[in-house]
Amino acid sequence: MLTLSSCTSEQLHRALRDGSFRLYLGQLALKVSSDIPEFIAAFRQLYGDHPVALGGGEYDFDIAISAPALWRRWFRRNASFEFSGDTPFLPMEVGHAHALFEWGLNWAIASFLHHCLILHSAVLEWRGKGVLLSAVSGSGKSTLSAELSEQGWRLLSDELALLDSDLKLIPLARPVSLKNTSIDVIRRRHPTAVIGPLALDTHKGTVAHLKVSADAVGSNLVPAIPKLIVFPKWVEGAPLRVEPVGAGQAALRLIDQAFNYSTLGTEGFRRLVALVRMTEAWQIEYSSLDEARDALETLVAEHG
Amino acid sequence: MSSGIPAGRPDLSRVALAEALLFEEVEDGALIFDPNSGATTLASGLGLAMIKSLRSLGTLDESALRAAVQGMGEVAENFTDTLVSLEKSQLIFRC
Amino acid sequence: MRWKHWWLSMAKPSPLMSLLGGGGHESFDPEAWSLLFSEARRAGLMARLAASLCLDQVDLPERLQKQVTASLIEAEAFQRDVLRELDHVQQALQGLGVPVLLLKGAAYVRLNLPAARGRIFSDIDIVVARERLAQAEASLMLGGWLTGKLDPYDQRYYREWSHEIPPMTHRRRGTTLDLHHALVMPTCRVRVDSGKMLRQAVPIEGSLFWWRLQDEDMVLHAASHLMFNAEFERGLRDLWDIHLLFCDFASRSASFPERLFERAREVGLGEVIREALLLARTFLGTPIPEDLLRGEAKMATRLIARAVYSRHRQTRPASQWLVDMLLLGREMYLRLPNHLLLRHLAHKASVSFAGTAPQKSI
Repeated sequence: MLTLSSCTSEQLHRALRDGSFRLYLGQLALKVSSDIPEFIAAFRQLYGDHPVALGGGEYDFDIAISAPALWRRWFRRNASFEFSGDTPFLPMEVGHAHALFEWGLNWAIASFLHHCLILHSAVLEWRGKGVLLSAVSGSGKSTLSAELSEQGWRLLSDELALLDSDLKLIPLARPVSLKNTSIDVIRRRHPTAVIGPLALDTHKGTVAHLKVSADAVGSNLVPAIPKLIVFPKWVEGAPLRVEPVGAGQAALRLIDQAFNYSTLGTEGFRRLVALVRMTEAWQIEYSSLDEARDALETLVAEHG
Repeated sequence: MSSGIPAGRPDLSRVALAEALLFEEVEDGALIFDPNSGATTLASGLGLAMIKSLRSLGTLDESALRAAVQGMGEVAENFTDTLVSLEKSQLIFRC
Repeated sequence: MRWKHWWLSMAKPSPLMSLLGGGGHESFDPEAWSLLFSEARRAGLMARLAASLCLDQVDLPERLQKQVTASLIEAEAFQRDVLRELDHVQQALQGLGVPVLLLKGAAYVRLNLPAARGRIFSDIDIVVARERLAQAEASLMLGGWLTGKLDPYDQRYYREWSHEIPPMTHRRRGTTLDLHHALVMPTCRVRVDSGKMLRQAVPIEGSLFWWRLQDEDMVLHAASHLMFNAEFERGLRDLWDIHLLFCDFASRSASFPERLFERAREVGLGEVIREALLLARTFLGTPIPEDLLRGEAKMATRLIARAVYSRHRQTRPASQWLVDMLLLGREMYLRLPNHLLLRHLAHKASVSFAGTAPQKSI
């Protein structure tokens, strides 16, 4: 299949302008439109290995990154995230357009894919076993996901766990969002990793995105079977602590971090119970990424 | 709306389980879902014993419930507190 | 109808409008379906479209079938939430002692009408007798609903001029309640006897608490809401409501269409219902008896037709933005007497200059 990196710049610009560009994110087909050069450049860099189409076709979501008003194309340049022509968010400066795209895409996935139970959780796979990393923002989940992804784990998502009616985790591997210090941490530890442009002074601080491996993208149509639920917490200087969590407790903690649990009603409850019954739950506290990874690999081997 | 609040003057010394609750036992207790309110609760220990008793024996008056949970090996020290707490979460009600 | 063909030929082809107009879907390829779904989302009609496609058992490409499933799940959850919220409102107002009337979306849901299918809305609208308005507000506040923070101008507009209470939001659940004492007829230029409509309200079958407008008045209320509107972001949805209500009531009683028009004349909405049903027939094929709907559409109706058409970037009529402006002017003219019109315009101009932020940041 055609990948983004094998398109010429002219082809890409044209398709993004005339509505014939499609990005395939696992099961999802996205119609993407844009005429903002800064966004297109970052997009080319971060989605190079993703399958695309230039001749139109069916799509799930209709997304545009565009100037909100005509004069904004030239002065105090802004970009808006448009979804089916609606603008659900305030526009951002063009330098942040690629970050806006990622946030907007998270919003769209979390708001509309109700055939899945959607949890605020990273999803990775190690030795064929699906692992959820469920944590509140700021616990270091993204840094840990990025680290694991650079160390041979398959990334399915850094933010959103999608559990379908067959109790499988649906992959949507795409750039991992990194904030502030974690950008430098990952860069130092993995100098060959591709990190996109920095978006400075966003409401979340400095944000950048790690391009995921071609392998992860290549497996985007292969669901994972959940075997482990982990609640990771990074604490500065803390020694490694690994403790089991009861299934009931795990369920309550996951509900806290769920996007559409109440929307799914009874089915949400049944699916969540099935999830905690087919997995083991653990919490880990760590300050060293290497220790955390070792612990996780051991957990998968012994309890997954 | 509380499910199953009967008309007439209730005698209020009997305790019953809310209707239509979904009950799933897990290793550290039982997850209970109330489709009417959308609330999910994890019951364990004494609270779980109370719920299990009411599930299998139906509506009970307080002393019978106390006896039932003691029969399950639960210490009934916090009986009243637990009862009140279950009532507050609308998992049980008086009738 | 001549006018229908005139303006339709100037509109861009839209799979959504074509499907709604009875044009069938056999010719749709997967990309056309994708555009249709995108149009539906833009119009706030995804859930209703999903319900409709499901009902008609339409064969869809797999990926879009998933979208339909997801939308149906959302719609069902929404209905659950509305019914729960109505229980909470009933609990809060139980001691009021006067009928409490449910309007619009919440009424459709409570009555389980076809118009409730896939109908998402943001507020619950209720009407109580004017003498009990203050007591109702107080009871709701005890139940946790609070009136929002409005600038002094808007507070005054609500309480003094339109004699309304500002919308109340529940402090924990975040749900919004609009408490009225009269049917809001946002016009001072057309004499509408909305009091008559309220006086002939009936209790909802099976409920000891809720009341509703009678069938004809429900349709009339929806029609007035559409035709007196300022902006038409939800115009197509409102029109579809009217279509579903009409079809449902007409299917239960052959004399409904006639009674509807008679009632409309009685309360002063004769022209409004005619124009609204002209639009419904044009876009949705509502089966209205020919003899009841003779003649051409008025100028305002032709403008509204353009505003109610798809508003999606790819399929909206070229001059929709201009029509929007004209209709905005018309709405202000309808709503405010001249001396207030100037004042209102001056205030609104100063507010938009200061900048408002209606959207949220991520």
